[in-house]
Amino acid sequence: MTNRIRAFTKFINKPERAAYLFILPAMLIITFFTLIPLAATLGISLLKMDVFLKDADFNGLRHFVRLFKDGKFWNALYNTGFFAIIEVPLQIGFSLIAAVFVSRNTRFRKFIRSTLFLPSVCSLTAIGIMWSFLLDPQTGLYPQFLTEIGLPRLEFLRDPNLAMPSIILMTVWRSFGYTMIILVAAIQNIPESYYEAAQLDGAGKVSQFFRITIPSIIPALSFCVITATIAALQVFDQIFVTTKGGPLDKTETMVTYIYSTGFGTAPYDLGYASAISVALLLVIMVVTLSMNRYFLSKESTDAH
Amino acid sequence: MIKRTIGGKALGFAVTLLLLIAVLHPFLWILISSFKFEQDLIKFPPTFFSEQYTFSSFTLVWERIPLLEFFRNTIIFAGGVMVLSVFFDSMAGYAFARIRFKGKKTLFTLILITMMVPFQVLMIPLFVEVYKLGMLDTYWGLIIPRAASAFGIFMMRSFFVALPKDLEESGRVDGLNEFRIYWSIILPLCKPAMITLGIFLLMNNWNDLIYPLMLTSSTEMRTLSAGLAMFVGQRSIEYGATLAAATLSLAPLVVIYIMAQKYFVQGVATSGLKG
Amino acid sequence: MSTAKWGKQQPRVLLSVLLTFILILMSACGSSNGDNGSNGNNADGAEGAAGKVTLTFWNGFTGPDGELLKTIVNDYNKANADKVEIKMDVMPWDQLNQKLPPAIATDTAPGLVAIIGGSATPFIRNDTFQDLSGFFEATGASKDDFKNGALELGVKEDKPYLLPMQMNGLYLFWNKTLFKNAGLDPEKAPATLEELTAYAEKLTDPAKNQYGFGVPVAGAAPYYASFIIGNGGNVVDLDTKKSVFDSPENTATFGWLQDLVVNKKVSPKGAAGADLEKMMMSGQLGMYINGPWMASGLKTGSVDFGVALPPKGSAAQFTELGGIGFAVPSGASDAEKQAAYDFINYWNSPEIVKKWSLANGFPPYIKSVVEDPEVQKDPLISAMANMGDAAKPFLPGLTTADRINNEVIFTAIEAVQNGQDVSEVLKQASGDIDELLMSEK
Repeated sequence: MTNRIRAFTKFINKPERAAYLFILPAMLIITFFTLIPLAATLGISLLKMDVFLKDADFNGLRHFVRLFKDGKFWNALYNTGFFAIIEVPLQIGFSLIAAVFVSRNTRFRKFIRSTLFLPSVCSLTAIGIMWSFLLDPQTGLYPQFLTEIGLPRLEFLRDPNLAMPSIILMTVWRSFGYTMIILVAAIQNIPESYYEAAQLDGAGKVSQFFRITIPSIIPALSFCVITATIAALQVFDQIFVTTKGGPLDKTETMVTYIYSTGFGTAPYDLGYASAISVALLLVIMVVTLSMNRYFLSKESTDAH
Repeated sequence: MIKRTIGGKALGFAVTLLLLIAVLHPFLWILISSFKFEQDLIKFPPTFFSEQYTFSSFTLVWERIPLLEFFRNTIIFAGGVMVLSVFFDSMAGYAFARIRFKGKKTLFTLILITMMVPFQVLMIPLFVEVYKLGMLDTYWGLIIPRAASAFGIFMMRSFFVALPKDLEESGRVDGLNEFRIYWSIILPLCKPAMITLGIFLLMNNWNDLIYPLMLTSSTEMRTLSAGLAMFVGQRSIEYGATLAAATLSLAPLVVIYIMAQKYFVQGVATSGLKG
Repeated sequence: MSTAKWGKQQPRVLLSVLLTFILILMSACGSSNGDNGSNGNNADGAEGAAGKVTLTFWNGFTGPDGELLKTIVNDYNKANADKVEIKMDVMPWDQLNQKLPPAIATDTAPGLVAIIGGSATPFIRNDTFQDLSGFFEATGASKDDFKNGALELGVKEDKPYLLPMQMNGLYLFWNKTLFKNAGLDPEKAPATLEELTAYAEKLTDPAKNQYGFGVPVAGAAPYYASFIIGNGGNVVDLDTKKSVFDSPENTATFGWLQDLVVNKKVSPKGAAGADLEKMMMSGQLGMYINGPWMASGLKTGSVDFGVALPPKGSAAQFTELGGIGFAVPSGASDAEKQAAYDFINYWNSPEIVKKWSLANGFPPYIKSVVEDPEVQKDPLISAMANMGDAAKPFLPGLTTADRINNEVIFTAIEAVQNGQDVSEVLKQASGDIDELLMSEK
């Protein structure tokens, strides 16, 4: 018996074999609870089916043809793209600056770090209610403050031109601490010796930032950019609790549209909702996989 | 360190202060408002402070929902997911980052893809699956589907990749097996990353509403976020109670986060592997 | 380097935290398996040894009315301790609507659900709810006790699939203090749309951030039906299932609404239902049309208010009749259905209907309760209960009714508030309605 165990241990002790053991539990769970439901979604997108999972008829690609002619879909796609293009750079930019500043472990900086992270801890329901309160043109503190200093009473979430920017700012407010923490952890992993060497070369703070900090945290940074992009392209909760897609569909995004088609109101059209999700999946895939490829090439050139 | 002028210091301080105000004031508002009377919350013109305060919102929350039970469920669910997922994710992340093996790229891409579908869409197939496994309305049924996350694997991978090369070699020279190398050499270096991931997983699951609601079917199994939703009726929102419940569900996360801060040590720099 | 040395560097703190968590987890799971046996989902009717039926009851009464519901259910459980036990599971209506279909598909649905009339249509059309026509025979209840419309909440081929739990119309609420300040008679609600317009203008005072009449663009009850049908228009021709939304009558109605918001500025632009309710409660809005739930909020805000039916249009007086009904999902066993009948009968006894109505301000739908002196003495409830013929369901039997209301009518209101051309908007909306109606055929 012990011999067998020993043989097994020996067999598995080759790194490339051990690798499969390392990924086994995670792969099992992900396969079972995400990949299989995902495959089911792909299947459902080809069916005419409601959430009762009854009366499924094969529908071919008709849902996808319908997508092309669906003005609401294109509007949602446009809004989602707009959101992502503005929100992601803001979130990453702010968090990078903040991360560099608070990465050192002094008591004060630790305190600031915890504080900046606080919004990310909150539930979106609470945050949504809170911001709808603060931005409400009649009972909100911000519009009140604006009128008191002589500015017009802005209707942040109700003005078609202001709604999306308000939601973007809200999202940046909530998420930048989250990205910051990842970057802080990455910056702390940079060996101090790198900086010492750079200082000996006479490099200033700014040049240290670009020559050492940025290249060293490329993996973490790419992780942040990619996950933030994925999250942005899937933006839902903060919209659902504040504007529900309005005003004038200006904040309708892909996922709010999927939700209202398949789950929000009757007749729950699961087939079409799945087709929109497949379209969303394709968009996200193209965007993030090309990002990933770009960053991977960076990783290999900048690795030390 | 480069010397800074007093002016520069003052400027840095002012910027920090502004940033803190920008981030913190809504929390201060939520905290203060949870002690306000309902009519003061909605009065016009709105004010930051109120003339009178009350505990009534908190008492209402206490009377209305089984708070302790919800806390227990949330801790078991979110804590369980955190522990298992950090462990499995870091293992997988390690393999993807530092070991060459066949099919690595394909598998990793597959994992990335799973992050790209909104949960709403996977929900119904997932529900059917958990039902078939007979795990509806149990803690395991809540924890296991979340016991590994693409997000976590991706995040851990990006940390392991950044570690200096040849770390494992010393362990291999010492004759350690692969698991020992991962457990004793690599993991201690990634404490900040693991704690960070742990906190993310904890708070995401702590705040999640629809997932635990879908997979449980009795009040006894509900989590805090479902409790929070109890005060948002279809037609009317009890604002004070909602804010109080939000404060209550938020507090433990803040405490855990502040406690975990202690362990955000300077990874590589302090672990004696510099040279 | 030796293994022992590496061992020393293990993150011991972390490890102990992990262990503690795992231990908590284990013990908790162990104990939970124990109690789960009893509270699991019992699609097949959990009948205990003594023949006692456990009936799971899903509903969305998350607000304060949920407390009263809990007491009533507890009383019922106590009185029927040897026969039935009702186990309630309360969750927001949104989530309930999302959870119910897959639960029915997997046979894990409860034996009894409360559901909003409008949301029930797809379930009824799909045969996922049971026909409840056996209720009257099984319990000896009489159809004649119910007011008109109460048994028509969810009907297919003349058979009831929903039995009433709570009924409501939509009413005009007005703030008496603001009426007095504007020189209006605080006891008299506007009776026609002309009066409504005139009152709203008098009540509006931009300097005080005060508005006359709320015109929501989302998240409100379908109250535009009062104006659309009141002015002789309609939304859908129910026989042909075709949109009749871009009629001249509707153009006039929406033109009037546009004038109210854009030119007369009596309502804040782009406000959702919840915003306007908040304004009503803080005394910044003079008049608003809403369901009976509005009353409790106004009482909390100490607003002195009156209630009346929505003003009459040029053709008729109309208010949407809606409600929440009891339904029995298709997987429920006979024993569960009998238990459900018994509870529904208990719920619709005059005593409980009166209790619920007086506490929540919802109009009673049992005839004897309507005439009850205590109910008649309550000015709010009696005003709401006496709806006459004005109260009818809006777009009955259409699966897409909610969608037409939320996605088309409100969107049209929003568009005209933003100054878009009324007939263009209605034409577009009418096309959208026809598209939605395609699924009805």
